[in-house]
Amino acid sequence: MMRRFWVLPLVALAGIATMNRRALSAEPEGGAYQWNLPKGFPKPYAPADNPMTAAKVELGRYLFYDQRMSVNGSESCASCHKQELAFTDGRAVGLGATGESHSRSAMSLVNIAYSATLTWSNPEMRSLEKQALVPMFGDHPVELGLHEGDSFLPTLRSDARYRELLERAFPGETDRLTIANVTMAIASFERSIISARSPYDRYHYLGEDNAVTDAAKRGETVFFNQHLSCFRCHGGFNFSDATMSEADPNRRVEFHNTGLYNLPGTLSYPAPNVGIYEFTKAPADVGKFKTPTLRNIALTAPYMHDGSIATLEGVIDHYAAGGRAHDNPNKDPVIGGFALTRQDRDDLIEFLKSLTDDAVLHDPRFADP
Amino acid sequence: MPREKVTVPEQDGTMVEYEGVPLREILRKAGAPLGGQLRGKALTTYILAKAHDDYAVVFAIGEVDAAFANEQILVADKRDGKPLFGYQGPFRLVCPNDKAGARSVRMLESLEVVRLVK
Repeated sequence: MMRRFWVLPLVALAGIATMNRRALSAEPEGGAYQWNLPKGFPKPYAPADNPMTAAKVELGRYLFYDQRMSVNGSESCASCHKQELAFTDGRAVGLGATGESHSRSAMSLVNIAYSATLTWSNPEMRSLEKQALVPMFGDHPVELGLHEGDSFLPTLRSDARYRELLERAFPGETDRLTIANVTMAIASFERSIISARSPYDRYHYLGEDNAVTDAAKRGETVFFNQHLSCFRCHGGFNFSDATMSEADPNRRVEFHNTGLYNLPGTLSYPAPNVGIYEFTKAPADVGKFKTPTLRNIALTAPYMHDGSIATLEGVIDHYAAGGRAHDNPNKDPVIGGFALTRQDRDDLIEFLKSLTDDAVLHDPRFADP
Repeated sequence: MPREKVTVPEQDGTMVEYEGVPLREILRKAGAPLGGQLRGKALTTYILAKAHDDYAVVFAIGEVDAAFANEQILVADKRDGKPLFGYQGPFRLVCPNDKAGARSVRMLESLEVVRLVK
């Protein structure tokens, strides 16, 4: 039995609340590279041995789009990371230069500078410079299919444009076109792809009430509803709990099992996509993957690490059911399921669509040179 | 009432300063059993925190009492010096020592002090 003897209403004091709208503004910095970040967005981390420069970003852009960076000249980084799709490829799983499929979906590179870990399920992969080596030289699966000693470096070295770009990016070095410099330039370009001016940002930070629809405004309330708990993992300015910045580059990342599978046996997820268990070998880590950012999420279908859900509606239904394999023992307790009206579901999708940043999709700084 | 500030990490790792009144002080002002009164059956008292979206969590009174867990739970109305708005406010709880965020109730609307009687 409960006896209630005090109720303290807080609503009466609500009048003090006013809208907190932050203005976008350029942030002049002393360094060489101008991030031009809006308020609310911290300065991204760049490693001390690869500070951002405009020249490296520009060189990285050329390399990112150069199909000579693959074994047979058929693919570049941009083959799986297309600007018009928020730097994903629209496929359930990636496809390498030799026709070999990846086991997982290509992740968006938008705001990758803010990602504490970079891949779906490797907790140790925190360096964009190191990550670039995986698609370049990896054999399982073959992505770009390069090998050390291939002709791609001499080919690029003979290109007058690259000689000019390299001289600006790595002045004073005798051998400028090295694998290390290639990865540093690509990493710098990837870090430069910042999305911070979606309609939601204009509404939320700039106070442009008409930047988003009424449905998106209602959807924002649904997204931050504490029963649904969407924001518990997809929280903060980048809508992901795997976020870091210059102030905290070593931040520990939580990975989550969202109840996608519950196969019988030791591994409840289909190999090779067993989550961070692949690296930790802890049974409790089977099926745990990184929380991707929701920025531009409307463009990055199909969804989840293996592209196994085709639409945003399908993803919401998955979470509403508490996971389609809701009895997976490793499932995150936050994913408890919820009831949602059709109106709430439609509004939530409108909110997610308001995170699409057209500027990034068309920004010539990120486009194929 | 005394106002305090606490700096905590958000989900994205950025550090944010919340400002408000300690939950303990609000409870004290409301006459909840604290200090010398918090003994015996009074220790079955708990606080039910309810939000605008009907979300609710509880805290045992001993969690906030200085002689027990002495948690510095804040009823905040400002974030980085600005009033909380929208899905955050106008009031929210901030539980600096909770590892999970689920008890840091946003859109806080009421605090009910309840004694469990068996």
